[in-house]
Amino acid sequence: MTVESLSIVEAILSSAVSAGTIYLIASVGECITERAGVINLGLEGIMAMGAITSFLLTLAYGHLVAIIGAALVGAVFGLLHALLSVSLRLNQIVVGLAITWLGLGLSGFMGAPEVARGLLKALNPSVPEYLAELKQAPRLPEMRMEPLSDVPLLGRTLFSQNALVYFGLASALVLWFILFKTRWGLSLRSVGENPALADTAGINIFAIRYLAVIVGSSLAGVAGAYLFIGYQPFWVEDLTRSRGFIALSLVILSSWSPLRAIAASFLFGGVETLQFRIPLRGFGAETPQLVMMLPYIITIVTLILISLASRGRIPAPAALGKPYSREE
Amino acid sequence: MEPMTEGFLQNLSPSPSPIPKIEMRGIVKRFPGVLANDNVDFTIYVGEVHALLGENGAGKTTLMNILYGIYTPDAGVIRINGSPVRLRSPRDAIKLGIGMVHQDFRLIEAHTVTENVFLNFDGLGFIPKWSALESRLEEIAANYGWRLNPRARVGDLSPGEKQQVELLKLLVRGADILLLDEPTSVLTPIETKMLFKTMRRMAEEGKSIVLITHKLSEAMSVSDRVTVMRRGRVVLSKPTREATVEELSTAMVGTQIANSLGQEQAGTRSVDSAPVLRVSGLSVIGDEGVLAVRDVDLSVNRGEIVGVAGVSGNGQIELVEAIVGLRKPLRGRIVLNGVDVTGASPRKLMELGLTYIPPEGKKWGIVQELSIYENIALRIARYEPYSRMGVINWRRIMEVSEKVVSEFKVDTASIKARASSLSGGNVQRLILGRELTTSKPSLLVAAYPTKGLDIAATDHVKRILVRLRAENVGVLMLSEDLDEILELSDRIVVMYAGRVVGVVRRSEATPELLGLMMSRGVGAGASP
Amino acid sequence: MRVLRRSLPGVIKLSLRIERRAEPTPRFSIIVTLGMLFFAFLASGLIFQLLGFSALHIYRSFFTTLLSPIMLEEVFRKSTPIILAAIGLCYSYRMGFWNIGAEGQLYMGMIAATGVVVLHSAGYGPGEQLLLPAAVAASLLAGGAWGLIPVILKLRFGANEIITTLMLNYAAILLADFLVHGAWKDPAGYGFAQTVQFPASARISIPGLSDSIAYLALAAVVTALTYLVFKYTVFGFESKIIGLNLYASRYSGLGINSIMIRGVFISGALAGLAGLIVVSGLIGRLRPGASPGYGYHAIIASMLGGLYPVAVLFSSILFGMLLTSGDLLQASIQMPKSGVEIMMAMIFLATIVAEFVKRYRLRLSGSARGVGM
Repeated sequence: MTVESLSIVEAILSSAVSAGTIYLIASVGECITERAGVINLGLEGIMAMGAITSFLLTLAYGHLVAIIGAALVGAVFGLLHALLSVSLRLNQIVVGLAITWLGLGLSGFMGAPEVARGLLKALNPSVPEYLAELKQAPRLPEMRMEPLSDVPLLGRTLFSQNALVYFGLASALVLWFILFKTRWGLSLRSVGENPALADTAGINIFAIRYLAVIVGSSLAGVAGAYLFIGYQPFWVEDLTRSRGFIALSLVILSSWSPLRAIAASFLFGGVETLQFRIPLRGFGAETPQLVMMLPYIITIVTLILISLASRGRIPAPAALGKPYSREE
Repeated sequence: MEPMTEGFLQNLSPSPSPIPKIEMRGIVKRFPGVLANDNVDFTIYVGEVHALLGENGAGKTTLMNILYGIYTPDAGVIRINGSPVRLRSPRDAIKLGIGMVHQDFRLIEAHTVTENVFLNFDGLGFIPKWSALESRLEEIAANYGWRLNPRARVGDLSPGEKQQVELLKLLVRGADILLLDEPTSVLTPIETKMLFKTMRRMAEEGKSIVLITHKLSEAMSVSDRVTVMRRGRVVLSKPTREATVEELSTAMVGTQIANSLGQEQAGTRSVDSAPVLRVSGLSVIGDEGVLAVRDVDLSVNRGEIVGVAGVSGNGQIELVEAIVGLRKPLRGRIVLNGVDVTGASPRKLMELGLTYIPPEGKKWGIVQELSIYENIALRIARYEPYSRMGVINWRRIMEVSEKVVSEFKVDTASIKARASSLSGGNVQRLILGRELTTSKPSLLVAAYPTKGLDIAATDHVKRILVRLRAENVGVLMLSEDLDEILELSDRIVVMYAGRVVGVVRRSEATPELLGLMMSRGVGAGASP
Repeated sequence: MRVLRRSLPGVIKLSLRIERRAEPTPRFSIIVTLGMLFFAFLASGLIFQLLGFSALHIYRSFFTTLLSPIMLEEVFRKSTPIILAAIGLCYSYRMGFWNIGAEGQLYMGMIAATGVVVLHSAGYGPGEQLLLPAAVAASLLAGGAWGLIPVILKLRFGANEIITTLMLNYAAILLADFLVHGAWKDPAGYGFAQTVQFPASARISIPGLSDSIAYLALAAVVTALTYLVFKYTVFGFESKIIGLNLYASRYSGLGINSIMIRGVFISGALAGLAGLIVVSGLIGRLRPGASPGYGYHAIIASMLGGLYPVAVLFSSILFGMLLTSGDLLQASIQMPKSGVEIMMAMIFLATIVAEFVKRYRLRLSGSARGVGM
């Protein structure tokens, strides 16, 4: 392999990881939520809220506050979801869609210069106003893991990324461990498989479902923050572009395992990267729209392939999407 | 392994020690309209296998649910090791060393054996030492001679192994009183043998085991002591070795079965007319992806009721679903009125004269959210004269609905009332009324048509089936109630493990014979 | 069921229970829905106030849309595509098919109708007389066909229709973008990414009626027909059964697949027709962002109307009012357009909670005090 082609492969891999982290953080969180039996279709809106929060908070107080803020905003939306879907037992699909809507509307509103300016001023009066108009924020800095970052191929791909990429990988590993190796994880998975049985075994279903939805939503908020300050620090409306829904299908692709979500996410990060690489090679340079369809088409194709591979027996948590009540 | 004979295992066990483990005295439990337990005394001794024998509905399960803390008795006392106890929930029972294995397994299929056993187990710590727990289970399994892999997914296990997982759940929690509710109903004969061996071993270790069953042969072969219940009362309790089969069966069944529905007709009508249904070599895959029906041959003639008997889960429902078009057969042929209808849609079959009364009428037969007349439209809206060119004639449907409601005595204020307001018996009347008023079937397939109904509704349904026979309709009926089968059927087909193990004419059938065939899969007196 | 249980050790024990109500009467349902709508307006006003916009001003502008005839025409113009798409969605939702794809189906309708006109202007295809019928047919077919993809994927592969319809929305929007930036770009358009203008013969009009009324009349006819289909046809009846109880549908021998396919096709076709109204009526040509999200607004409108066609018509007009007042507010107080989306989201949430209030009541036990919500 020539040095030049090696560096192209390196560039592709590293940008696949970089783009894939958006999906990784969101789908790892959704793995937890769905393992407890709740499907969160609000992911898209919560990501958008995380992104706008990180935009404003980065300008006002810097990256760390921005990330924490995005997680908190995600948690608040998660709480709303849980209140409606777990306590009031409303249809999880409709609740999720409504939350997506609210998140997209609210984030779009908050990101508009007229509103962003005011919010920024309220958050930190010393920040110059024109920053809100520029719709930009400083990007998260790269954190090189010397000497690992000098390893050919892998070094640039995995060890010279920003902090949230490492956070995404770490949360996948940690949550996988909690889910499959600890007592909590066992209880959580039991709630998602057979809530009635878990209930008679003395497990607090409501506490677990609330926790799972809130953790998943906080991670979606962080995924949104990453999307903005870690990946594309320029605010546009519909910044998320359905990535929350793609993350939902990646949860199916990774059969509800945070570890497999790593592979699935980076794979889709690669697809997302192609979108920008193909036009560079000539095709679609003028009108890139067809190439931009790729992630959506591939998501659909993935769903078909999953169905074919599993012969119609997709191992979803048995109680996924079903509200639980003791009476019924 | 040697063939199992009655009393074979029992002779190996030491004589039961006379120390009472549990004493239940004067237990009374009422449910609306039923006295489920009527002043019941029941004693379990240390180190014995105690068979609690009785027909369905005799009050056995109620008594055991009281002992397990699910129900509170209306009167009576329970003493464990001599001291009175109050059992308010299963958790109280578990603390006192009582464990129960329910008829339906309470397991999470997606989890491993170990995860199921130790779900919410006290004192595990945040990160349980899974390998230590696994070897503990392996140890227990080895003690009883089970080949159970603690790392296996429960969904991949056989029914016998699942039962072992249920037992493990009790054993690790230190239970020394084990209540097993109809534990053999889903087991193969080999698995049953294995279970009995385990039960004997547990008794040797000083545990007390209650085997709740309606199968005489099981009580005789494995127990030290047998208690027979009938209609909420204990009618007999003695050491098994002192009991005879005749004595127990009389105690269970009581006097001869009441005969109210023109029994003289059953089995006496000529059944040599052309069969309305002929099933040959039928094999069907069940929900678990394994063969549920194996190579079944079956026929139903005009003017004949054929009852399908069998312990539930032996392929009856899959057989019926294949016949009515809800399940695609793997192999075999189904011929209805001379037409090959293998794999035909329910709609096609309906149009060819087949009518189906589904099990769980509330789930399959009606739409709860709709009114009664809309539920009647469900079946007929697409046919003339109820619709023309796709446009529904609601007035016509309402007329026929009024007819159904009045002729079949559906108890409702109006045909515009919601179906969810109907009782189980009324739902069944509605379904039967709809099917029989709006079509002229030549074959009626009824799956558990009286299950869960009160006496009046049951009687009504039975009368309808008998009337259909008189009208020269062929009837294929599933039932879990042996009395009902004996009362109504002209011929009885017995299924075991997906196969038809025998076809018996009513005149040749006795409860003992059928019970034997159902529980052991022994064919007898087969006539085509 | 216990929702919330506060236990003060040794003092009091309170628990909030949810109880099922008896079947709600239509009047009760309407009152609850209107009450929750009121809450939604209140809550979104609060949000706007917090974000620095006068809630009172916003409420006032909402009602001014009804006062002048010009405004009212604008309301009707914006309502029409929402009505058509929302009525279409009723066909999907009553079967329990979660079609989130009206936006994409609407775009396919726009693309197909525009395609007919582009062909015509290039000298091919239908003549002057047949131009409008051909455009209508093309939009119906294209929207319906776009709807068939997810329903077939669902029936054949069990692919989740929420995800597939959403993905297809993006695909359709990008396809429209691709065409207007490329092959279909109007050569005389000064470099703007837009197609040629629809000729008068390809525009919908009813003699003697203003355009907006004509569109509304078309939507009202579709609504009335749908009402009849749902109430009096075998297809309408059977599609409802499929949504309510799949077991009973199988048992009763309904042709589930064929009903699903027909229903979703109609759903998509009506969204496609909405697309035709946009390009042939409202804008007169295809350009990027031709729909401000009518297909999405239709989702909430159909749910707010409880899938009852006539109610859906009115809830869609409400959304037309919202969009129109959004334009007003943008001009008068520079309120960003997405403010309207917030209001819609609040209405959506209110609709969901209304469903709960209709079916359950909360009861504080311990003191046994009923808190009817």
